[in-house]
Amino acid sequence: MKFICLRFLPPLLVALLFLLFWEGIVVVFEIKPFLLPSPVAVWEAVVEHWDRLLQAALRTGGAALVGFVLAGAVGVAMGSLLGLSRWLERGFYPPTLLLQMVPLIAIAPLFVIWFGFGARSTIAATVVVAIFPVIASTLGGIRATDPQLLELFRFHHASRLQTWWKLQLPSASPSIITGLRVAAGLSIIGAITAEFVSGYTGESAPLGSIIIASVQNFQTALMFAAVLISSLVGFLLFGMVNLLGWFILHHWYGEHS
Amino acid sequence: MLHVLDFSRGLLRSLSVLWLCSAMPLCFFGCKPSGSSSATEGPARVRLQLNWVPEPQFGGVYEARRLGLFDTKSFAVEVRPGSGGISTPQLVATGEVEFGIVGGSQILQINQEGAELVALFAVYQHDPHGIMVPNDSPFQSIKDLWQSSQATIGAESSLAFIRALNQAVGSSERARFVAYNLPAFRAGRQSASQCFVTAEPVTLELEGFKTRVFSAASASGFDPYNTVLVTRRSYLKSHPDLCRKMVESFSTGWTSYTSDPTQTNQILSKLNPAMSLEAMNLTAKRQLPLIIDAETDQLGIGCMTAQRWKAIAQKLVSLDLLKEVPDLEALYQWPFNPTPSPTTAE
Repeated sequence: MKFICLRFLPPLLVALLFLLFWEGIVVVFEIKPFLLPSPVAVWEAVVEHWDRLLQAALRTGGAALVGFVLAGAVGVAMGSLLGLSRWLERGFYPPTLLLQMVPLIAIAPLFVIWFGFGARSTIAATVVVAIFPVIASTLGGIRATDPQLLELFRFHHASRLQTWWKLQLPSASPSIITGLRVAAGLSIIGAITAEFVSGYTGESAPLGSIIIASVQNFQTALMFAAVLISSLVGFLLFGMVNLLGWFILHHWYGEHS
Repeated sequence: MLHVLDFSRGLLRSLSVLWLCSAMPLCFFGCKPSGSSSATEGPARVRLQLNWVPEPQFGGVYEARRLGLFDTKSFAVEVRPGSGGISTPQLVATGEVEFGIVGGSQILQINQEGAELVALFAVYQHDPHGIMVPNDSPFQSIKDLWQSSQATIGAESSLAFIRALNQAVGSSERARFVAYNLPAFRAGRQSASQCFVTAEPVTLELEGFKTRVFSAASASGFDPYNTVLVTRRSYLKSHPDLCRKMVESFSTGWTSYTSDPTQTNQILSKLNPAMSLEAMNLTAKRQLPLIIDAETDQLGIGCMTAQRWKAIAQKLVSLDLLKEVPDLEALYQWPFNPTPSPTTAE
């Protein structure tokens, strides 16, 4: 009971205070719904459009998850490769960094031309947005491996693959988990942004398309509802990464991880 | 469920007002008065927010500026170009700008959400929205597109004119609707795309990509005003003379532009290099039937009638975009004749 109070009470209290402040602002200053809907109006929009929002969340969340998994897998592989060779790092790291600097909203229309409308473009955009933190954290983690342990592996004639699998990857895992956490948050942002230009509209609309449509029709409460659901999807993804991180660190570092 | 919502609404509101009142004194130290402009000598300065980049859709505005109507001793207008990310109706409704250019349906929709916009001048008497297909497309009409399982249409399906098309030509359950994306249409990823009949088809045509355009208004019968000059009701009450000057400038500017757009188009092509002068001239020519018709011949350029507004509102009600037909008297001013205010009269 004490654990539950310590763990969940502070965020719940902060959330409640925030909602009260928000509702109070709307009531006291008589803010019009097109500017800022009240939390109650947003909740009503969630209830009214629940089926549509749930379907949209599954579409967006699914695409973000696939994009995140791809970004995670490719990112760890690339980060490891770059970590194994200074030559590769010097050659490939700057273009990777450049990829991170490209504004997604500017290139998202091109993804549609290359991959078509719907999930494929969304997944591609998500990978582009989420991959860099994974590469950077993996590379940083691999580079930070204890040199004495590396010397020990060399002394025992361990192959590169053995050194990577038995020493460098476990040593880099806390750093990789941190990168994956950042990537999880970015995945949902990437997915929503891509859906602005590549999503289906109408009945099959994902969250990004619902946000755009509600803005155009001044349905501000529905827009807030869709944004809220987007945040929850991102939160869920973040939670999954945290859980995965706990299992991995627990496995390699024992109970004190 | 509704009872629970009502209860939670009441409880939340009571608690929040109490909490906010206790926090209010802190706020006042950091707040400054907003919206008031001190009385200064010189011309009255107002801001006009467009809803898109400079192009012939706003030709009359830039013509008025070229003729010096926006820079007189008593009246100075700052014209602010728009972009995709700017919501002009909200900027006008919040008082961020005094005047704006918006779509006719938008006025009714945002007023339903608490804004108080008043239409002063309707540039486009007819809706410029359309659906374009490549010239060699097998689709011969909007109905063909709507009923084909092969069609991918780049259009926001919640927009009023698309809903009206759904209502008129039958449900679009078979066609797939995707986000508006002109490069994707150009690359053949879409069978059709929403457009302004005066804009995208012209640009594409000059790039060598010919299209056929189906007018949305002709297919659906829903024909709202577009490119409408608006202000806030409170601003109209407090500054009727400035509103009158703006309407007169629009009238003069659009009359002049529709008779000869060449000089202003040169200015526009400098302000918007993405659109060539050739495209500007072609667009200016093609938009004429949308601006001038039998009704404007009779009532004047930019005119609006209660009958048209009522038809627009009724259609939006039938499309579930409006709850009820609002008070039309308060919705628009034509002919311009508001109650004069002694404080601002010259």
